[in-house]
Amino acid sequence: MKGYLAFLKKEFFEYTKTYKLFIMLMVFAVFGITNPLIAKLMPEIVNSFVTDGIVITLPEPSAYDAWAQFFKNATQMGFIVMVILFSGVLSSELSKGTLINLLTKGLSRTAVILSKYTCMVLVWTMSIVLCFGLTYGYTAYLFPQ
Amino acid sequence: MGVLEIRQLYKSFGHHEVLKGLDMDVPEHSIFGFVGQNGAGKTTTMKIILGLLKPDSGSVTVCGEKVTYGESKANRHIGFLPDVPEFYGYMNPMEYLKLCGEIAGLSKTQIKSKSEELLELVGLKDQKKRIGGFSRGMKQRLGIAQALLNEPKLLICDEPTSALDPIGRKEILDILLAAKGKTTIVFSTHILSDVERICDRIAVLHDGKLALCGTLSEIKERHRLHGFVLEFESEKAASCFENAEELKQPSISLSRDGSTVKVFMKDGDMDGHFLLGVLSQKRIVPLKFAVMEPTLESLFMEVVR
Repeated sequence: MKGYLAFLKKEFFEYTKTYKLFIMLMVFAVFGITNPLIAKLMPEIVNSFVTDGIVITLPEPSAYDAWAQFFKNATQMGFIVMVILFSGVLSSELSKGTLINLLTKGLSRTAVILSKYTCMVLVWTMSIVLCFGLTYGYTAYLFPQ
Repeated sequence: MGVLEIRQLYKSFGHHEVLKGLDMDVPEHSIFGFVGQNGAGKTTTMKIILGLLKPDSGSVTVCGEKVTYGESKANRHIGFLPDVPEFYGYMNPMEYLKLCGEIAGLSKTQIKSKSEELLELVGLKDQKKRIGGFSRGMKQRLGIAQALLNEPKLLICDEPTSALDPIGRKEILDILLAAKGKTTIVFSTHILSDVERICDRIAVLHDGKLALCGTLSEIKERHRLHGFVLEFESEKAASCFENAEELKQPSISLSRDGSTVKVFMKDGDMDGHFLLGVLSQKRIVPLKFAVMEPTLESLFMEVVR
């Protein structure tokens, strides 16, 4: 348990120091802001591409479109960003041998895996909550009912 | 009872047998030099002691506790310094030692006082920069600090001095000597002069077994060569001595190189007096008359051949 907490602390420290946490939050913040914005501007974007003779009629954008954007971006693009950032967290430690010092100090292998998992779940949750909050705020602002 | 006891240790990788019944005892408060060729199995042995590798058969006991593969309970008695220690580059030494201390289960005050003491010992006390910018020697020294953090009864160093410059090597050896009072040290190396400088016991690993083991003076005594080197003024005097009738015996072998003659005696009870007698009979005064001392290098060569 002691090892788990100590390693969890180290993981958080690592994500802050190597800017992983920062990048994650930034990407999700950008998604959060652009979700409702894209939904709002979609008809105008489409119309700007339209040449003479073709008429495209789109329904008036609503809050639903903003939330559709949210579920598309956060769970697909966001997930890809997450995978790219965190795919190496265990393999790099193994190949570099940074774990050896700590394992020989009595850190259990389970604690390593569990604390890495916990840390990633927490980072993911934080990012999703941030993204959700921003989308919610901007949707309320752009689509007043 | 020894700090480390290894009994009949066998380990093979595929068809390649590395350890073939290794027996080893390390008594308390000694510096134990573990010597062997590349690929002789030094690192393998150390990994087994740490529970990082599973032996095929045999047992390892550290401070009376049996080593098991995986989460080895015996590890709390051991401090380990890998050959190239790797750290988290974004931490500074103090932060790293704090992490190690927390994992080892030390209290906050203990960690603080112990880290300061150790960083002082290894000369990294005022080092605030990140480990990422450290040189090899600095990393090696930090490695010793982290290995000594939980006051281990046994410190295992895997080639701590390889790939360091002469000053760095001397520093590491001095640190190890300073740590001797508190702990028992096992370290592997190929650099025999390092062994001669700080070790009180050595073991030579060859062909999966210990080919040589004991204190340095014991080993040298056991392998005394009964050889003498005589240097003469001229080649004439040398050949005159070489061709002396008294020396034409089966138990004596001679070799001459210019004005230097080497004499080896197979017989234990024939000694220098005999040669001195021959010299005075021939009325030759040598420039130099010396007993041949076995060097660690010659011993190593003899054992490994």
